Amino acid sequence: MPVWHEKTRTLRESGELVVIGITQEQHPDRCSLYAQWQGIDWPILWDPFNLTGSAAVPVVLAVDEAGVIRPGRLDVRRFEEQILEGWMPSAPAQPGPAAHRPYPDVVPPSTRAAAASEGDKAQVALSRLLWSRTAGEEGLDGAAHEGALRTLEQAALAQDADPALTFHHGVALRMRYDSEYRQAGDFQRALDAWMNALIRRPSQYIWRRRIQQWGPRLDKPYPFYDWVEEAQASMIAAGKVPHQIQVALSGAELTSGTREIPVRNIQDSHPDPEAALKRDGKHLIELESTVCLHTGVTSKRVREPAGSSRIHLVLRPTAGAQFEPAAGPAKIWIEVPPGWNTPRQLLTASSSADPKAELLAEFEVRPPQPDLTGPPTSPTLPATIRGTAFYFVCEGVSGECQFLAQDFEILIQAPPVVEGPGPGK
Amino acid sequence: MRCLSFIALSFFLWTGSVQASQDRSASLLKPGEPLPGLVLPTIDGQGTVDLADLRGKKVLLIQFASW
Repeated sequence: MPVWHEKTRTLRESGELVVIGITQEQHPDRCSLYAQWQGIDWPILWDPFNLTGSAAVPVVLAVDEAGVIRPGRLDVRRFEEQILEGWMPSAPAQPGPAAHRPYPDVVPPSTRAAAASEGDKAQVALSRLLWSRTAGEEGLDGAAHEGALRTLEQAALAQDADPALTFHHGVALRMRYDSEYRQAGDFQRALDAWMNALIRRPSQYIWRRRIQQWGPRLDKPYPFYDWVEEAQASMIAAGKVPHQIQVALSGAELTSGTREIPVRNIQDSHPDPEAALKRDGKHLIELESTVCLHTGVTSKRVREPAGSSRIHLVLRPTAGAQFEPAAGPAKIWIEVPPGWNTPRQLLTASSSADPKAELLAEFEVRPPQPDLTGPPTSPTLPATIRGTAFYFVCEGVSGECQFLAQDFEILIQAPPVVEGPGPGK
Repeated sequence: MRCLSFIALSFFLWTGSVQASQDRSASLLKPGEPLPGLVLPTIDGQGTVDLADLRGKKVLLIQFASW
């Protein structure tokens, strides 16, 4: 985008050309930081639900005065030929027919007349979610989140429903996961919804990227947000305050892709082989695991790498409890099924100076190599990862503090498939 | 064997082309067609733009992601 930004500068400043961006990201604040870093001053619209229906990005379109999208693929390397000499000197297009409105009920909630009919319920739910963080619009509380989610889920489960509705439902689930109204399992349900949508429309690369953002390195086409640190440092060095990232970046969103399988290359020692450490019977710390499968599992033609996954394990203090940061980071021990691989068994969770902050540990697992002469189904799933989390936790500010352990199991299974229309419906 | 390969390739191309056309049909932004009326918020949460309001000007619409 920076090249388009530079190439169009003179035309924008003279008023001859309007440039509008549309970003297809879950989190708009990251794009705000990117725009600030790159000096992009034209409006960028937020389309997390992929209402435009675009299957991939980037796509640059020229729209004439009649509002008609010009045919032909624009290439910034041919900017002078295509734009400066080809399109800009052309006579203004004559007014055309009125624009079709595919989502007439997706509007800012404050602009909806109170007396007007409620309209399409799913579109109204999308509107509330889309504009909940816009100035002058109503934010969403827990009940409103729940209501919007139920509406979208019902729409997605309706007979002959477009798989896009399933994708929308997943986006809404991840939105609630990032809010103070998060409910256990929201992130997993979001990934399941996106997988389900992708199974039915496998060449939708916006949907695929939404999963890969949190997926295993084997499935990562590129690092998604590895530029963020450089952008923040650049802003600070320039004496500016960088746009704040509202939702912390996970390791999955920063790491690069790889073609190498994760094999155990470090022989770790179990920190508590006799299981002598006291278990967290009061559940002072809540563990939430989310499994992000390789998107190859959505294709019936690809048996492998079914099961290759990135697992996000969150350690979250429950009411009243808190970590003691001075005691060192929490540790995680994992046991994979026979034949499975993971780079190491002893992991260190993220750390925070805030004792109430949730901590995150991420790891990847890969099933045994498939028998290519065998039947075309993976015998590796479902599989269970077992492990134990070790942490130093306090029962409140002046309460008892102690090292505790908590055992867990993580089930890895093929994405649940909701019966619906076939691919491409 | 070549015949089988040809049939398999033909099937792949057929299913691939069907898939591609279906995905194109899912997009609201098709070359040669009018820009739809679609209202979206700006990323900074400070405004709203209706694509239908862009008529009367030459517009470059850039769909992208910061990743």
